Amino acid sequence: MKAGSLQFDLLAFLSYLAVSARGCLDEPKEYGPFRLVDGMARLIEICQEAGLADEGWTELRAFVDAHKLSVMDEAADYATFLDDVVARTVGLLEQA
Amino acid sequence: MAQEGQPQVGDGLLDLIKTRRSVRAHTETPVPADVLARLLEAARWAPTGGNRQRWCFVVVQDPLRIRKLASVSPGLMGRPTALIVICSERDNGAGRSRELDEACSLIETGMAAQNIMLAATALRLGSCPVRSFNAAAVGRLLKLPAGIQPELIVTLGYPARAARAPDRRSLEDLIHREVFGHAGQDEPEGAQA
Repeated sequence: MKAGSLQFDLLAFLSYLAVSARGCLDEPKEYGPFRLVDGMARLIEICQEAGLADEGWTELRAFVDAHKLSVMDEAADYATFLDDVVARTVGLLEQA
Repeated sequence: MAQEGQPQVGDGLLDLIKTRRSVRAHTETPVPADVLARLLEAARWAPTGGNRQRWCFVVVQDPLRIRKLASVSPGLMGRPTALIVICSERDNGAGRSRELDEACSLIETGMAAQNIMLAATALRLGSCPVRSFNAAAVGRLLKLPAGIQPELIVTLGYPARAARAPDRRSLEDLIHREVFGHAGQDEPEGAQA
């Protein structure tokens, strides 16, 4: 498997999912949703590099990246952020 | 004696402490070897209990190895161009209990990491401490022998943008004078040495 190939990138993403799942047993519960939306951003990045992401996906990733760390100091607003992520994702689904 | 209002010895260090940020967005500029050497020298001078120095530092600069480590370290974000993995040597407790040995290793790791991160800040380099990683996976990718435990990853790279200063609790909220719950300068009621 060639480093930098789509297959390698997906394997790296699978590793991220596996260790995140294990880590969620020990880490604060707020980290669970954070890992999932961070996973969204990582997967979109892979799709971007593979030429599979359109403008909507790119904007979604930018939105997630801009706000995903707010769970560290604005935990109360995280639900609002996640609601927005869901709405944006469903919006893309509607257009598909 | 320094005059009031004049810069004090140590002001520069205090500024560094207050301007250090956890940097999670990096440029592609590699960290020069001499800069890394200075960070490691700063780490080497961190205190350890009984001066035991039962630690080691694994420096990673190969982009592919960094990528692999990042894939098993969910807390590692951005594209750092170098990592320092601070490891403890857990097979030599110097007569301590396992629990005390683990506690001391974590404290010593933290002090070494802070030295690294402050030195990085002084050298205009971004850093971030990462504890969210799978220790078994990191150990395997770094070929760590038994008894060498990865405790903390310090990511390094030149910042792609300025990081926002996080909130801090006020000193009044944090500090107790002489006894817990007493914040004033007067003698706490009923307090005796």
